[in-house]
Amino acid sequence: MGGFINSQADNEICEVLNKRFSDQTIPSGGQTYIGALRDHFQNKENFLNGGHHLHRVFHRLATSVTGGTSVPKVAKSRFRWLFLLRKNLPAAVTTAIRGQLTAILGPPATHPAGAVDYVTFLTRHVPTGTGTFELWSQNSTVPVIYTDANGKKYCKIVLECNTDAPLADNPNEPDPPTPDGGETNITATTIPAAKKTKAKKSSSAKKSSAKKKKAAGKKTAGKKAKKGKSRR
Amino acid sequence: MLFSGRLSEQEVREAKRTNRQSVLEIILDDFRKAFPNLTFELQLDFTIINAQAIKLEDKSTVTLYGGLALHPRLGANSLTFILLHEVGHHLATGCRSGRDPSLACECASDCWAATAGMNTLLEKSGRSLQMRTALEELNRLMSPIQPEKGGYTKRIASSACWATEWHLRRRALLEQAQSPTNSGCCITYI
Repeated sequence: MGGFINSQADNEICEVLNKRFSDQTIPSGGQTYIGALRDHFQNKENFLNGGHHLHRVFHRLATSVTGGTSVPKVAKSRFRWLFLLRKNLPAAVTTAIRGQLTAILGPPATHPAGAVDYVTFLTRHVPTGTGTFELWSQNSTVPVIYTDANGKKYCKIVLECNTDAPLADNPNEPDPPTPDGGETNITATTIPAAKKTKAKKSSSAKKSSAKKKKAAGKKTAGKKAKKGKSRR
Repeated sequence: MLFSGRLSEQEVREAKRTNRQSVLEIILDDFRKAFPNLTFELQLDFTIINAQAIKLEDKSTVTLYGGLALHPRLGANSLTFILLHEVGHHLATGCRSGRDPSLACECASDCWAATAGMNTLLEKSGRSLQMRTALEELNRLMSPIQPEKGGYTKRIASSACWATEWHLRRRALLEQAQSPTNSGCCITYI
């Protein structure tokens, strides 16, 4: 996105989608994230058809990467994002998102985008022809294929925002979104961070950390946040 | 971008009363001279406090939004640095943006802006950048958004991106630190 000032919620949304549509190998198996998603889409569940809601699809894709943590982490931002996907995107944008992603996740015989190595997700503010949100370009249902410096093919999904206003709040947004009919489990790809740390620790490490906890008492929220960050 | 902060209506009105818009046009003309292959856009009608580099098909664009362009705490030096940073996304080599591999990462863009970028701008357009002044101006804007957490002083590592924390970013710019040498992306938010 190249924004000068980072916005945590924007970063989380784009990064979780980028990872879900990436060519990184899933830690628990030999497939890539996008490979596993294509397999799910083509053989188990077309989660981009009219029977599925985009806000629910986003939630499922995100939690399949995080191992359960909702995205964005901050509830207010999450509600606004889910509300946008559920209620405030024009129908033409929803159709375009479904169309571009269907081409990417479908077989390459149907559209060459079905063979791209990965997909990136971006947002930008720009005046649009329709005077509202658009999917670049002009709500096309056909994705454009790029080639990166390593010769890999990829697509960019760009949501364009025309309005100069914050996303609408909805404190009562259903969270998590209500399940759609016909859902099958999208491969859970990552063990939640807390469980992963626990599982990796040896029994002696467990003991020493328990001692430390006793000695130090409760840590402040700030210290905990810092510790989490330095691990990344 | 959807969750970016915004400049208040009053601040926008006040900025538009001054000669800020003519200053912006002069700066952008210098950038167009120095980097003719890029498209520079000024989007004053969007009050988000941000700027963006984006490449769609073959068009490489740098957009400066109203919230930054008209921000009362920023002057010509900080605006010049912001634009150089965005140009750096298009022209810097090194580690890539996780968002879009056709763009350089934040740290590589900063590094390019503080070295090759400002030299090219000076050579091609005559516009010089006072980095210390730019960082002082930006510090007034960035410190409240990304406050220093204190407690200990992180080293600017050669293997890790500094761009998520403003105080590290500012220090790296002052020291003209080299950006990480990773070939992929060096930044993560989740």
